[in-house]
Amino acid sequence: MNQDKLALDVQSVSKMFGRRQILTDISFTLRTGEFLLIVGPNGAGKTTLLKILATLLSPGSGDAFVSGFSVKKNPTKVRERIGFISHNHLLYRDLTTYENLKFYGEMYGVKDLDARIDELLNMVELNHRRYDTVRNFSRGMFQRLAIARALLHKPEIMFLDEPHTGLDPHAVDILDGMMRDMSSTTTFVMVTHHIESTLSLGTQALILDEGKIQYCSDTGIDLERFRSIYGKVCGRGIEHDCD
Amino acid sequence: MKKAVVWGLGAVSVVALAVSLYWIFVVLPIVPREQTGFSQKIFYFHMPAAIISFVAFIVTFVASILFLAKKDFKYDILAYSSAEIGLVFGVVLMIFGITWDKLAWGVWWTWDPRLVTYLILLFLFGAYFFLRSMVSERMKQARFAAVFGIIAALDVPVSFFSTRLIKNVLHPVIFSREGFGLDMNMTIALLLAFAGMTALYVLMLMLKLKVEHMMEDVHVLKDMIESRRD
Amino acid sequence: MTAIRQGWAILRKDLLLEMRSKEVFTSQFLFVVMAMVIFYFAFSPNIKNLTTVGAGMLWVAITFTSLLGLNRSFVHEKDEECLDGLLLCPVDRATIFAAKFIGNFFFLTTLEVIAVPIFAFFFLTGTFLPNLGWFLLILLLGNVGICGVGTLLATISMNTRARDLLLPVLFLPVMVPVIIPMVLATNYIFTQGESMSELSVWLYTMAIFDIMYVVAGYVLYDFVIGD
Repeated sequence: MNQDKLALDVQSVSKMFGRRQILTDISFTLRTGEFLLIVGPNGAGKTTLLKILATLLSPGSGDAFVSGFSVKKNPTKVRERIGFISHNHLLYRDLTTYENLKFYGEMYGVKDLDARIDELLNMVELNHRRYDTVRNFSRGMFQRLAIARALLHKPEIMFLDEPHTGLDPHAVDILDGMMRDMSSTTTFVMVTHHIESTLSLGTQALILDEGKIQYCSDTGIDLERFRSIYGKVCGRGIEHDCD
Repeated sequence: MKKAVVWGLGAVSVVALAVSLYWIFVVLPIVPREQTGFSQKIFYFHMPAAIISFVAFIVTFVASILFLAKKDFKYDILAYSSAEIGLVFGVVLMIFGITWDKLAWGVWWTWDPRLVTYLILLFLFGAYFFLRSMVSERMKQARFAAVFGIIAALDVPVSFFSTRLIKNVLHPVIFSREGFGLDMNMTIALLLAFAGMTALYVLMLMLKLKVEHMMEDVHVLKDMIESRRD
Repeated sequence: MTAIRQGWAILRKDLLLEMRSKEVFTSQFLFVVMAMVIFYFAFSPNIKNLTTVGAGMLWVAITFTSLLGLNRSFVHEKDEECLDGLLLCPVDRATIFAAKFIGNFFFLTTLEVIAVPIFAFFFLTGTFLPNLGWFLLILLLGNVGICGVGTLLATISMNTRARDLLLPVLFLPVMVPVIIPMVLATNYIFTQGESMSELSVWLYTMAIFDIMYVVAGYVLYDFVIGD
């Protein structure tokens, strides 16, 4: 398949930490506009895989093409096109809401930055805290601002690492609403433990265990197969979190 | 084939060093007091040791660059193996240097530019190993060590040069190697000692590399077994 | 140019953060003044004219104080785990080095602007003001060297188990050969004050060191940050 049409093209990625094998021969593809769910028990390598795709870690062997660019050879081009939300909000506590967004906006070279900041702050409902230092924000407010931060440069692909962890319902609503609104234009890759609540969002799924792919959907999530492999790997039904 | 090389080097080293010792103590006369007398004989081991420790650190420098370029662990193993042997030669060198000073001038330490340069070198390579011990993850350890190895090796000519600047301000350098003016016999002694020590360095490096590669294999196997057990 | 815009964004952020908290400046300032006081009591019983040991005292105080600042170059990123945020940006790692280097240089120079007159007031008799230009040049060269190699090594040590404990172990042996010409040159200015031609050897040594380490830092930074 022409690499330009693929949001992700992962080719035999393996990763070792020291002498421990974390990921073994991971290969899969994802078309633009899809929503990929990555699940698996703790230590399966989900976060490592996500970080490799986000260029935070280098693949030990193999390569991954994100929006057509190699994470190994063209990490900068990859970074221009991706957004990342993890349980670390990646915000500077002693800067104000506005200053945080302005910093990242300049790093990404966002045009009409002030207008974009206005737009995003309205979307995450933090405009009233624009000039406050973020030090005293609640976790939900941090996460909302982190969403704004990740969206500044209108990324083509969003990577999310268990974004619902520790969020208040309001923040969950904003996050889910954002994902729904953007699902037609943006590709999503989300690592999650709460499979049942996110299954409605996902169009493709990947189950990892001990660094290897146990299930990889192709044209859509085959619910029966997914449930059975999930049950085998996580030891429980999909109503429960995996490990 | 390898075994022949190892034994060959061992033989060369022993023979060369033995003959050089004979040459130094039996054949060569004792130089006059102004050129430090009997203790001058340390020179024939001191200078080769100095050159070899510098060479060992240059090997570390080149291996570090190669590692960063190629990301192959064998260069990292070469880098720290050579650094370790260089450190050993450096310590031996310091001991020779201090002993020489004590025998010649009656004091253990003078702020002689050479001694200060070697001392800084020892600290740099001590720091290299301390850095390695503070990083657990193998790849990171190798990367950081390679970067610091490059920095430390670049620092050597700076030390060498700047410690010579001291001499203008403090008391002048006590003696210089050039002051001896080596005759034929002395040159032979020096070359013999040099050959012996070089063979010794190469031998030690080869043996160390062999051990380290085996250790790597052991660790890989260990990890494979442990992960299977989980 | 993109790199300049990004470098400036990082630098401005670090300056803003330091201005808000003032942690680094305050601790460095107190440290350097206390060091000078201790030096005074250490040397005054034996030495009548402290100008003769002034150069050494000044550079020892500055070198050790700079360690405090260098250790903190990434404090905001590390403490608040923002490093990933910075690394996700489409920015050359060498640009990050340049921004951090300039930031460290700025903080150290600001400190010296206040500390050096205090030092002169405490320790120097006679005046070296006619040679102020040379003195400032030595300070400049010294700062570039300290911040150049210091930024690189601080990034390494921040990423190890020992964190800030490792930096002095790495930094001091590398700096010692440079402190020698710095002290010699400064001492010359304090005590001779006549012809400045002798300075050239020492200044060249410092300049070569500076160029070597800033270039090395710029080129090697990719290998020490992140991952």
